[in-house]
Amino acid sequence: MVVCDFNLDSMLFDIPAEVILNSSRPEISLSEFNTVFGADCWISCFGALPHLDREEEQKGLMIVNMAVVSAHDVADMKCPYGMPVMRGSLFIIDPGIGHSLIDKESFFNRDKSRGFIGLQWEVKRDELAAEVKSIIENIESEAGVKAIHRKNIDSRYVGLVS
Amino acid sequence: MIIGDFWLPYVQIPKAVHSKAEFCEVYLHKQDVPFTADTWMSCAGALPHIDRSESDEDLLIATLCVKGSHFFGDEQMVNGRLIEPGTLFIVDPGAVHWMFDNKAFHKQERPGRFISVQWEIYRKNFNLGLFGVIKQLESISGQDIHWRCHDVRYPTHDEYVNFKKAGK
Repeated sequence: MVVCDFNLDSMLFDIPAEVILNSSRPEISLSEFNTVFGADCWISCFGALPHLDREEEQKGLMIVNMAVVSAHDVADMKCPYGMPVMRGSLFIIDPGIGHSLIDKESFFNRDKSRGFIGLQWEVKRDELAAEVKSIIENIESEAGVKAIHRKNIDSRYVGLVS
Repeated sequence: MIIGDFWLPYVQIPKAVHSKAEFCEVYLHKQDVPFTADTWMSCAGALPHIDRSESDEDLLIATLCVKGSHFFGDEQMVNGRLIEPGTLFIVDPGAVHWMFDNKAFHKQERPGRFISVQWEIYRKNFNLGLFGVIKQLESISGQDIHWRCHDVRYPTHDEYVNFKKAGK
């Protein structure tokens, strides 16, 4: 779930065309092409219904995401009503806990969902705190902005940001 | 989760229930409910949620689908199961659960209507309450239930068969 936000409104991202295209497709797409902030890949989809990522879970990985284009809410079984994710929101997904990424407004209005585009890092579960710290420092330094910590941070991740 | 499937006779759906099923919010309707069920329920889908008041009352909800082709999932069965007319399934209101028309979601189309009737059963009397519902539905449909339950939280087919035998 969301740990902090960066004000990246004035930052221009050079998002690869295929990543933009894939944000209107039903499957989650990953692309390692031309990432920024040291991310492993771009992730794009128009949304994801509740699901588990067994492969990442078995590898002992946690997933860190930073939204670049989003009108979505991220939710998981321990936080079922979710948290809003906007451009610059950094959030953590536990692949072994059912999770979803849904554009709630389009869901209730029965419109087409808007696309989601993010940057993704896969980190070892037992190195999560150090990795998140390093990702935050890297974004702060490259984007020249300070992380804004969420007040209602998920209790599971309270110790991760100071 | 899923208990099993029945062949269902034609059921008259009240207009309000039908029209409210267009929206992605759960609508309950307590009039003209068939099969001695407690209420009609309709929606086009439901985001993950908990039903706190039913959970506080220690209720489980037996739900019989009358219209729809939706996936129902809960925290113990994240990938969900397809629910179609005649499917009887259990909702634990205290467990995170949801309902989506997955096919429409993936095609970015408007979700179809989901309409069901439901029975509220106290958890402490759950097996007996559920077996009563199944027995009634078997009698209405004229056929035995096609049992599909493989969920450790809920009774087995053998337990139901024993219940029926004991009743004779």
